[in-house]
Amino acid sequence: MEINPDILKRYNEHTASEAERKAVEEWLDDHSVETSIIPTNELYAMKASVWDRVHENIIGTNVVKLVGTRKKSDYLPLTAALGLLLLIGLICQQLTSRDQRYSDAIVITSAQGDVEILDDHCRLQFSGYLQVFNRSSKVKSIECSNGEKYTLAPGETYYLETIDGKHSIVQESNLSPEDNCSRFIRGDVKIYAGKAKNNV
Amino acid sequence: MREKLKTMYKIYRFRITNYAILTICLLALFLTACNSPSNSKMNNDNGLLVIGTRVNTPKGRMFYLGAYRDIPQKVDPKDMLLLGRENAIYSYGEHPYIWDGISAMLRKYHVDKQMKITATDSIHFKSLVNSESFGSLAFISEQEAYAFFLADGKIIQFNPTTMRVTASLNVQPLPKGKATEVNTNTYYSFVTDDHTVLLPIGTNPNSFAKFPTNAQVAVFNYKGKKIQYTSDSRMSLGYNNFAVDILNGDLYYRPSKYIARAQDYSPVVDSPPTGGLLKVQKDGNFDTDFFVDLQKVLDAHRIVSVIYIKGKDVLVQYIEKGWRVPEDPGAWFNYPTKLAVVDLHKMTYKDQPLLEKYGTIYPVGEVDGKQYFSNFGAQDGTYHFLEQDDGQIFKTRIEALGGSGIYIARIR
Repeated sequence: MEINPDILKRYNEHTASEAERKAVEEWLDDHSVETSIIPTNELYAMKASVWDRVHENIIGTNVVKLVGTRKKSDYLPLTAALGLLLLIGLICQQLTSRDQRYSDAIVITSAQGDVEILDDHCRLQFSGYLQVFNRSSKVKSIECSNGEKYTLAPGETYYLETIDGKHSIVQESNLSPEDNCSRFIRGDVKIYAGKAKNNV
Repeated sequence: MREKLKTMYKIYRFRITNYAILTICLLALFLTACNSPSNSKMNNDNGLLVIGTRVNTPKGRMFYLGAYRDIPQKVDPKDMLLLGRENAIYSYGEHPYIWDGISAMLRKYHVDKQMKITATDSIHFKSLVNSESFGSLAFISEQEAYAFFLADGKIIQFNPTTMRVTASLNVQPLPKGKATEVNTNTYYSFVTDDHTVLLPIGTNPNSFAKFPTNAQVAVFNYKGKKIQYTSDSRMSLGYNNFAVDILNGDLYYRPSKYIARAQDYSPVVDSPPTGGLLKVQKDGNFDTDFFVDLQKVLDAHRIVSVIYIKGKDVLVQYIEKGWRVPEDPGAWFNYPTKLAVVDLHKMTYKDQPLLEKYGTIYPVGEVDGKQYFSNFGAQDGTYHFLEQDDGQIFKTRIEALGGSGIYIARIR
């Protein structure tokens, strides 16, 4: 069947006969050199117009259908997921801020475990050998019950020792890592501080 | 509908084909990138080192372990496995073994071809012993190793391949009782060819008047499962106190800064020297013919440490005579130190001022027959892995900031 503008018009308007529709689709799929009496450029323009129309029909119909079939309940899982995400975010933020607060602590390790002190200064009574770590970024201080006061540089670790009943403090950077001083830790500690968290 | 889909396919088939090809290309590229070798992680198995460090972090000083194809110029905790804050690092055969003092756990690790370090097995010691008295491991073979808890009179035998405990041995506890300040060292054990494990015994005195006035070594015969303690009254009981002759593997009992400090504050005036050097034989007995008083040779106030021994040359860290001992014993460790090489044959010494910038220097391991050392407390905050070198004493192999080197060993 020879394809002409009239058949194409009917095809686009969905009024073409079954034979015409078949012929148009075969013609559309035919990539061979055109032998029509219609000039080639005109023929290509016709073809493009049919494709455009087909394209427009299909996409347009689908889009309308998609939008038309959405119900409110379809958005429920998405809303729930976003809500859950928000909740997890809030919990994480809370935990992080708590870590941040405790990261400002002085951490004192005795044989009984770790105690974190949030105050910038605390008094303590102890026996034996303790590890003291200023986890914060500011200078802090501790005072032993016998009145000895020590300044703790930010991020530095110290060892509080008791020799012949007297306390002294040793900065870890003056020792060798191979000495592994944390293995000497023994004894107990009593803290007199406003804000302390026991991690035993 | 079918017709529409057919038509739609006709319209988009060209694009669909293009996108499919593009997707396949991107997928292939992604998979290739995942498996591609980088500078530090190569996909072959020819040689592998493990390096342990202790790094300053916002949570305190933490131990890290990294795997490397060759000795890197820098080590960065970002490329390493975080171990914890109280660890001792060992390796035997192809595996690192890490002691965690907090959990009382010994973990075995595997390093894969991509140099990823993964814990594969562990032994929990908490129910077996008082883990606070841990004092080093000794590996005898792939099936036989020991963990020492001598302050409590316990030795745990285990199989390092299966990581199963094979025996719990009750032995004579350390003669100084159960005081935790007298123990074998966390890091050092020496397996001799005499079926013997030698462990240096040390102390951190809690009384300056009562520090032990003899040198002492724990000698464990792993064939007979017997322990004995050998002593020598020519030196005091230090801590962390063996040094190995780089040339022939001979063992020397060396000074310790802890006991040197004790001597500065002790009311006892006739205690044996803390700054000497004794030789320990392979059976654990002290060589009665060898003793050098390094403090006398250097005319020093105190000997802080012997860093290494190489034949007749001994690298010594010492405090100069004339140093005023601070009233506060805690301030004693701020001592200004000097380093010198002592010639044991001529009993002379040569100061090494170029090494003073490193602070404290100590051994960390051996790679391909070369001894490695690290430093701690340098004023510029750097630390290094230093290779012992005949020409210049030390050659810097690794430099990094904010921490210290702990361990280096070849595992493949």
